[in-house]
Amino acid sequence: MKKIIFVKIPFLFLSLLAFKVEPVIDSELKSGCVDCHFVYQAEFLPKQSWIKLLNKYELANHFGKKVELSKSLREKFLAYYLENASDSKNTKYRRKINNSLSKNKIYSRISKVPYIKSKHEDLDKEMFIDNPKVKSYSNCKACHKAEKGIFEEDEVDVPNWNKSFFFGWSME
Amino acid sequence: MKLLLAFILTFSFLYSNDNDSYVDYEKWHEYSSYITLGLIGATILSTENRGIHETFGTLAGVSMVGTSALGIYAHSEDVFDLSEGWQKIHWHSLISSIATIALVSTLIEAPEEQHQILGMIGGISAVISFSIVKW
Repeated sequence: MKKIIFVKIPFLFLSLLAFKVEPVIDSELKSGCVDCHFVYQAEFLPKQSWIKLLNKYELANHFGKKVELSKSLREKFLAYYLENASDSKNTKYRRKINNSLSKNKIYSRISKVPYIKSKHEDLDKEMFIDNPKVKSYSNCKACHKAEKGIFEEDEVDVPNWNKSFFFGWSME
Repeated sequence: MKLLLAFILTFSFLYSNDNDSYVDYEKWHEYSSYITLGLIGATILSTENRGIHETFGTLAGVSMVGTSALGIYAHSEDVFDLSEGWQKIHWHSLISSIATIALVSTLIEAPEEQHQILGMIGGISAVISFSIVKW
């Protein structure tokens, strides 16, 4: 009996809040944004948002920076984002994003998507803005295995912070 | 029924947020689970005073039903999705279903002696179900 309990228990603690997206594997796409950030997966925003973000006038002032992409690369990005946007396919994780979006609004930031925002808003700001290894909500890969598309709650690892069963997150 | 309605309305007022009227039922489910566990604890601790024990016990039962309903609503896509195999969420929902049935049965059986055993089963399985998520 004891043996069964010890074997079974580890299988209980897999992930609850699962959130996985397809990682970007195209090397040209992956290298396109790498100077400032990893390539955000298309699933996080709807088509309208990606069209706006990849507009050449918008890229001239991309969150305060000028982004220079060749026409072919910009078109390749647009094709990837339009094909995989949150409203392009009817999958479980896309629905979670899509159902939270306001229909009359074009979202420019993933961190402003209500579903994503809601999952982070209760956490201490010191974990993000004041954390020298995170600094920004847009720095997904600081805490998530973002490049692999893994955003599951159990896989979160906030730099300089520990999570315990009884006390939640605390600074190291 | 009125209690359940009051419970839901209170939550909708407290936790409706500014996210373009988006309501995160996953969070509601989480917060209501804290309340439920608190009420179960209060029920266990108030066995000496029948009136208080009955009040907390009834609230715990109603709260547990509300929490389960919210959980099913918020996580329905995950709970009924076995495409990635049997996962933590499935253990959580299975055990919390046992807890809900046991706690409701406890209310029905009370004040008979048997209700204590059902109450214990309900309380313990609720704690296990919660622990699976929080581990």
